[in-house]
Amino acid sequence: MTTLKLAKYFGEYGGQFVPETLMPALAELEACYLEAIEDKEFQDQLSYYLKNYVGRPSPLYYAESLSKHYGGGKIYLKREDLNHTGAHKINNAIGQALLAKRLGKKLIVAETGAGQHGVATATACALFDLECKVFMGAEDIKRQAPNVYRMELLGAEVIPVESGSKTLKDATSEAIRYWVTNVISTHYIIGSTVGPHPYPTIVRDFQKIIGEEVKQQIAEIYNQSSGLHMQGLQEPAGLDPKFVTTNEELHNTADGGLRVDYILACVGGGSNAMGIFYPYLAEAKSGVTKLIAIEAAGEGLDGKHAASISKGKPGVLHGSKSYLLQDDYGQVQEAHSISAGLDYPGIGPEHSFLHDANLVEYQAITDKEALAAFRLLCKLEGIIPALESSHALAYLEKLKTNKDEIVVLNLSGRGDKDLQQIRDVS
Amino acid sequence: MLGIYITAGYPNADATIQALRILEKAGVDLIELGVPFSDPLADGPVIQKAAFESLKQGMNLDKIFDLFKSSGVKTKTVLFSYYNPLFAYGFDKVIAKCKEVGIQGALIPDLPVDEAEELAAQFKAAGLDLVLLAAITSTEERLKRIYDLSNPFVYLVSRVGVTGSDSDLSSLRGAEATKQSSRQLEDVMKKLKSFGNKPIAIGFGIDSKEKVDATFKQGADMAIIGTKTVKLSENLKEFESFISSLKTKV
Repeated sequence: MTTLKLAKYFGEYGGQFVPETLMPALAELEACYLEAIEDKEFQDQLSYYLKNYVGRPSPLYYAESLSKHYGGGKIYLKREDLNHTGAHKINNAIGQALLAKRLGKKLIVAETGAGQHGVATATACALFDLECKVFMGAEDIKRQAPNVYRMELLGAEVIPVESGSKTLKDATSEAIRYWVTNVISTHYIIGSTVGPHPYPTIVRDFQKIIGEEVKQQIAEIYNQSSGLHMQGLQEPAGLDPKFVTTNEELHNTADGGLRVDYILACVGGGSNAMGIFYPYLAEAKSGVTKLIAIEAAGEGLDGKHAASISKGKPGVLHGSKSYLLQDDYGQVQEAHSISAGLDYPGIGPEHSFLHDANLVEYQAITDKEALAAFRLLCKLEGIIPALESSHALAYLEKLKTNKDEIVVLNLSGRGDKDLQQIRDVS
Repeated sequence: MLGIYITAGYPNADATIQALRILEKAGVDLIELGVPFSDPLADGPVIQKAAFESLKQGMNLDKIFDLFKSSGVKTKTVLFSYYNPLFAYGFDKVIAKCKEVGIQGALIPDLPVDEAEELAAQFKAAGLDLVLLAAITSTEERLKRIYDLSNPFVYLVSRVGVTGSDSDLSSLRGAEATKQSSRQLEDVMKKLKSFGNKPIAIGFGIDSKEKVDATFKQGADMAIIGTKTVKLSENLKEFESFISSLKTKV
């Protein structure tokens, strides 16, 4: 049993920069979480819902046409888009809703950008009979109308936020104000690896199942293929020879899985990226796996964008210290991305730490490049990706890989919510 | 004692200079000079809007130091600023500028005691004050740490919530905003008073002479008014007559 408190900082990033009124609630949340992760009943319950309700594990799909298109290594897509509600956000929403019940809180507040976290939270609240309020920027309400209707169907109240840029940043500020006002009765389900400690750690832990599954799935692919090889079974049609001719040197990793050379994920606040990267940090440290996070370059890094690490500097927003888009006087700048989920001027503190420690490489992709990648995946694989995930897909254009390398890309969400917007810009 | 908050640069820089002089003339005990911030988490719509308007006109920390200096005001004044504008400016430079223009410290609403120790020591070494905020949700252990570190007084937030009058905050109203108990506030006040003689100020939601008096009855040494005075600073005549109506014997 651990009685250790969770680390409040990732290097110099993180912390708890919030009004005193919230501090006892954050301490209570941390204590509750530490108990929960040691409690078998909690873990069993979480696993039950992730398996039977969310549909985990999500498939790891070999995108053969996409791989052929680029002509390099094999590209695998981690299909978080196939989760119930269509994105990775549900992993965290279910976990935190269970924590809220444990805290004895029946009221939930959340912020949302693209609406995926809002939908996931509204869903978890419907499932566990919690009352749900979602703050959403007025601008995002316009560009993500289907998700607003979904949240309302699920019984949540969607509250438009008219301040500032009317996007995710302002929705988050307003959700925090609401929480400050109602902290005794209400749990705040934050949607990304941002906010004051312990949120970045809790959200990352509820998302790290993505990377853990990838490890297992890669190992299964390896075992299957070497098994087939040993038993002299006929090679199944359509399977790449790589699956049946094992190259020990190439395949060997410490835990016996296939070696993954690159992991790609888009990053706004950073939860899908932390989820898939975290279990691979040891491999990143030893140089086996290269982790690449893709920020939103919007109209370009010299224009309006949302690339906090590429173009920001350390600052404090929404309760933690991290890279931040800000002017010389510390005023937070408005971000821009075609993708509402990446349209945020900050990034989770652990990402800032991983950047400075050179464990993750941060790249940026423009709106235009993301749209092209969106179309390409639709055509080549019959998968409509979220605009967020399309940023990671677009980086495949720039990534030079060898035939024998393996790329895993976190397809964090599906693109149904973006169709109207994409039709409008076409 | 009476403390008054105004947002620097709202409705414009000249008005702020005049408001500072009015406050000095009226003999208020403390001025909180608000540094506008793009994302004021502890503020209701009135101060949010004031910050937004002020920033739109290009207000920044350099200009705030300049306007304070040119006001010639000697009343004890602290900066009321969120962490990031001060962090971006650099705390060493903040301290040097405060000393240069005669500002006596800072109050940072998003800096809880846990994150404040180093900065409090830095301020103290420079002869400046760092005022910390206590809340009615604070545990006794936290109240003690806040009391010990905060100087020269402790700012007790009167209720669970953000700044503003009740009528401004209807959009944030949830389950509990309507049933704030004055009992909780009294309990916290009693605990703070039991630690020693440091003055306790109460702020948030105080917008009238009646509420100021009630605050003193609850045992506060100072009442702090913010949202109301920010609203009134649009019309300095009304601002002045409101301030003089508050003159209270303590």
